[in-house]
This record gives sequence, C-alpha cells and structure tokens, in this order.
Amino acid sequence: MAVDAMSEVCGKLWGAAPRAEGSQAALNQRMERDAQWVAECLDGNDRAWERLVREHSRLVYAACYRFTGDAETARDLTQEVFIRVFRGLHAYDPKAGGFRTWLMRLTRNLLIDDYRRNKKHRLVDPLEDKPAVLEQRSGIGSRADNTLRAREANDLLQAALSRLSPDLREAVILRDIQEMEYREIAATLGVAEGTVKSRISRGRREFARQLRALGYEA
Amino acid sequence: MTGGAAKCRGCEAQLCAYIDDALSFDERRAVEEHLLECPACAAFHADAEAAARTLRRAPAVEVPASLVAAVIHDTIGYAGSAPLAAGSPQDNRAARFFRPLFGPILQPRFTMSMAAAALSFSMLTFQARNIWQGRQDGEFSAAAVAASIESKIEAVSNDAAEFYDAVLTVCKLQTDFMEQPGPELQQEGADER
Repeated sequence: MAVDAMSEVCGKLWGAAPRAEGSQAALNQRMERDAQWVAECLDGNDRAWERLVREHSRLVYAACYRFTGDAETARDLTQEVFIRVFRGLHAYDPKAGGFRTWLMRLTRNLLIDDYRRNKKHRLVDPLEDKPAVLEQRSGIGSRADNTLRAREANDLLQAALSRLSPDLREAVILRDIQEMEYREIAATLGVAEGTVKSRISRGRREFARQLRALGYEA
Repeated sequence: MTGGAAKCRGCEAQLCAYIDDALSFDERRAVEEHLLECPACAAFHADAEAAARTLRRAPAVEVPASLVAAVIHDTIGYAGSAPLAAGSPQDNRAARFFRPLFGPILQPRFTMSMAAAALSFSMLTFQARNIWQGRQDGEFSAAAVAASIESKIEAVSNDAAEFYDAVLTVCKLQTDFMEQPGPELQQEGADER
C-alpha cells in the first residue's frame, strides 16, 4: 500500500522510531512544575517566565508550523501566542487544568483565527509545482541526496496535512505529532474525547488519501 | 463504515484507540474480530494505521534559534514587564516603574553606541586642546597649524575607525551569543529524541 511504503521511506530517512508515551506520573510532575513556574512568574520572576518559554516554545512553534506549513507565519504566531499568554497569565487557573492545555488552547484559537483570516489567500501546498515527489531511487545515496529526499518527504507530509480540513488537521497534529493525550486534546479543542478519537481517525485516513492524491504510489 | 452501517458506528473512535494501543484486552479482541468481517473497516484501519506511523516518524520541528530570545524580548524586555498579579503583595512595583523608563536605555546596543559617541567626543576634545596649547606655546603659523590639524585629523580618524571596528566585533559577538539556542532547549531536544 502506498502509505505503508511512504511510512517505510520516512522511517529510513528520518530514522525515528515512534516515541514512547509519557506516563501519568511524568504528566503530573510536569503540570506541577509548570504551575510553580507560573506562580513565580506572577511574583515578578523573569527567569521563571524564560523557563516557561523555553520549555513550551517547541510545542507551540511545531503546532503552528505543522498547521500553517509556513515557517515565517509559525514564528509570528508563536510570538503572538506567548505575548498573549504573558499578558493573560494572571487569568490562568491551575485548578482548571494544566498550563500546557491552556497554552495549546490559546495557540489553537490563534491558528483558527489565522486560518479564517487567510483561507481565501493562502493555500500552502509545497508540492504545487513539483509533480514528481520522493522518487524511489536505487542504490545508496550520498548524504546530500538523503537530505534532499528528507526535505521532499517533509514537504510531502506537509502538503498532505495542509489539505486536511482544520478540524481533522488539528486533531491529527495534536495526537500524532505532538503526542498529546486524548484528555488534553479534548480540553484543548473543547470537545468530547469520543469526538477527538473520531476526528483523529478520520484525519489519519484523509491524510493517507491525500498522500495518494499527491501521486505517491509505491 | 463510511456507509454508516449501524454496527460500524463508533468504529472510528474505537479504531483510533486501537491504533494507539489504548484499549482493554476485550475491547481489542472485539475490534480485531470486527476487522476480520468488515472489509470497509479493515481498509480504513490499514490507511489510518499507516498514516499514524508516518506522522509519528515526522522529524521534530526545529525551533529557530532566535525565536526564544525574540519572545523574551517582546515580553519582559520591554515596558509591561512581568505579568501583574492583581493584589499580589510581591508586586515589585519599583522594578515595574523603572523598567519601562530605563529598559530601552539599558539595551546592549544602545549602551555601546553611547559609549562610542562619548569616546569619540573625548578624543576630539583632547586633540583640540593639544592644538590650542601648541598655539599658546608660540608655534603659531598658518602652515604649521594646518599641518598639525591635518595630521591630528588623520590620527583621530584612524583611531575612530579602529574603535568602530572593535565595537562592530563586540556587537556581532553579542548578537551571535544571543542567537545561540539555550542549553536547556538543546537538552530538551536531546531528551525528546
């Protein structure tokens, strides 16, 4: 099957095994640490804010980049997210949920706003002008060749993602790329866990279909 | 499944949990039995599983090195300072009052520019005083003063050029240093991998 082959190629190129699930204890520990940092921030401790930014910037930026497919937009949105978080930090209630969930909810709202604002103008598709993608090459390629193929594979993945509806795209990104728990995703998106699972499933299937539509045939 | 057959309702959610290995033994077995007898769900599952595998192997997105510094600068680097907690006793009001006033002045580049300007001014003053003293000592003649001024100007301009080169180097070093990702972030990246 085409997607299986794509997965195999991606695995070879990126050499990454699926990452392990975080345990509940680790999750609780992280939530407590975040809550502590937030409290220190509110006490005027700039170092605590810096730690929060360093800890979560990757999560926010990756979500923005995978959702929009554009590094510059992702950068701007990430900055905007943290500015809003900074200004609204006093409104965060640790009892109502983890900081990460609160942060991702804010990120998600900003992403949806950006999507609505730009959907008429922007349809990011890195492969629009490249009909021949991720060619299967025989033999052992050079490092430069591998880098190029990795980039093509990344473009392909991004193109397929950008063709999903926002609902499915965000669900798939939060689960399969950000590796968030169903509970966290449900809280982030403001829907029931069953809806989250259903969207993830449909998103995955649609992603596989889009890969095929992009011409990736084994 | 896509046709909406009654027994396939809810399969999307179950298949998601099945792929993520989040089902009990019994639930898992029920899904596997269903997949054997429902070709539509089996095809759906094959696609979804392959897609999940591909997405999970996507490379971690690298955060631009300067992004964290930019965020810090946009938030605590300017007026507004740390977020205000309403009624917090440890509000550190003095710091909040003075940071907006002195924050921009204490930016490294601004400070360096001011230092360069002060140094240039002091050098010019020094040279002017030397010329004036030479005139006071009775060496006054139009040619001598012109030659003296010319040589002084050349010396000053050479000194200034050297000084600005040094300032540029310092600024560049400082910018490079600011753009380096922090050790914590690199460590996090290593952990995630």
